[in-house]
Amino acid sequence: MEYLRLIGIVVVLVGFVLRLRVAAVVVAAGLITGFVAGMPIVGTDAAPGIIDTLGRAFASQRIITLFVLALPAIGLSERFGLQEQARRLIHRIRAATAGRLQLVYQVFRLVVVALGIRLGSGHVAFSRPLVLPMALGAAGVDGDADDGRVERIKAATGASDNYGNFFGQNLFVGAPGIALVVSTLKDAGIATDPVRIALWSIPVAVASVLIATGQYWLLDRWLRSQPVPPTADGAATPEAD
Amino acid sequence: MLDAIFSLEAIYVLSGLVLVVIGASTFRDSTHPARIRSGLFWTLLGVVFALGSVLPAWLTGVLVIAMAAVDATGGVRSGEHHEPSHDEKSRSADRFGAWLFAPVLMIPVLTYLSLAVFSRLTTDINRVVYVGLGYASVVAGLAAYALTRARPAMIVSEGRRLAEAIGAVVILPQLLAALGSVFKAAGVSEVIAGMVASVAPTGSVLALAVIACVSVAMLTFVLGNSFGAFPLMMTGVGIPLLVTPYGASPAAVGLILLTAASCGTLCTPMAANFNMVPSHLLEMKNEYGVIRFQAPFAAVMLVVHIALLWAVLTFVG
Repeated sequence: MEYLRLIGIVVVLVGFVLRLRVAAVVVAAGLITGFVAGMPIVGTDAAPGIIDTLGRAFASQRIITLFVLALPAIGLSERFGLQEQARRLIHRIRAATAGRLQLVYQVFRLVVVALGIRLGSGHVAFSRPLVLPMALGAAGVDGDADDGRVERIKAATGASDNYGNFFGQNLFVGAPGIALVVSTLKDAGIATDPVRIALWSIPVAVASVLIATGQYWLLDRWLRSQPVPPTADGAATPEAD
Repeated sequence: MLDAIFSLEAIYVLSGLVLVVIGASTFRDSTHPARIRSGLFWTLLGVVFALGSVLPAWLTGVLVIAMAAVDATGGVRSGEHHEPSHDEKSRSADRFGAWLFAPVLMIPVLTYLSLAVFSRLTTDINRVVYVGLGYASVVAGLAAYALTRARPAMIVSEGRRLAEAIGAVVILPQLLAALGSVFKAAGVSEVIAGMVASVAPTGSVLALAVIACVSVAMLTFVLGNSFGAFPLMMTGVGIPLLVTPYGASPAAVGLILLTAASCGTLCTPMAANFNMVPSHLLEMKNEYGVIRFQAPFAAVMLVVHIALLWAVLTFVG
């Protein structure tokens, strides 16, 4: 019964829905899928087993987690007022709103990846230390306050990096995604030119910026419609002009 | 020697050291609510990071399961961090001014510089990027230390504060990639591509465009990775049902299905490094908050992909 092999997917979905501890759910899904598919628990070079497949893949993917090396630099800068300084900077730009800032950052991120520059996690390098405090500052919101606006601005800050990254990277002819399309087509006996593939990502990139612009406009409108809660120390009072 | 210093292996060892130091500092923190288990988690992760290339794969697998087990007990927690008050931070910002941006900005700038300088010396661009990123992060840490003249212990305690803010989710991206490998070895994706191809209608161009885009996005939702889903759906659905019968441009179909897959990435907790790690990194109350914001955007983008694919099948082919 080959559909039984999909049980790992069911385990993961149930785990997410019930909000169980994700790491344990993922390990359980891997173990169960391996058992159902008849993989040995510990394998040999010829026949990979469940536990060694887990270990090998975990070790070979360490690149994803290299951002831990940047945490001391960011933490230390934050402790000495990085966010406060970002907030001051943005207060000088009178036209800035939380939504427009996300748009500017998204386009910046899109251009960076379209030039083929991969810098690791944009969330670590830009979103947390710079974009978030600037967006909070532009909206006149205190990041530590118990305020629904903080959560929404944080969500937009997480999203703007992904939007720019995902829909900009394939504008670069040497992008891994383009290479994947080329190699997949080649495996099927179809030769194609990477430049033609990259050209098709232009309408996709344009659409991503336009749709995001609409979403940020809605965000700004929603932020303006919220009542301003009393601030603890007056630091986050919106500019009156 | 130089080759060893400028290798990914050296960066892994450095990251491992940082994690082991964070673990050791947790063990010694008597105010921490779960210092033994939390310390164990970060230390195990550091060991896997530093020694992942030399440990036998089964042993790494056992350590990974141990980390997941520690997390399952609820043992990976945040310690007490005495944050300076708003006034103190404000005074500190007065003192350092715009220089505070310098260390943080060094990370992307130095990474890009190393890419510009060293990419001619090797064809291994990944190595240049990540070795550059690793050393740029270290230099940025030292620069922040030199600028603020903080106590050396603060480098560790501030790094630990951010690591604890992310928490056990930090291992999720690697863990999900590992799950993807098990799925691949077990042949899960072939089953799904076969299912889609067998139910897809062949008469209506619009229905085909919908099925192709939605199915690649859904498989990505499940696998958490567009690069895992794309080749299967392109080979199993895109080429036999769109390119061959309609003579559609393979370049267009390929790119459209690839970014249609990204619409699935925006909606899935399985894409932990894009959706879950950021919500923890930004210290959100709802860890699904980023996904919730992205979902309507992804839905509209998916419709755009369907329309584009329909146009390609109808007019360009």
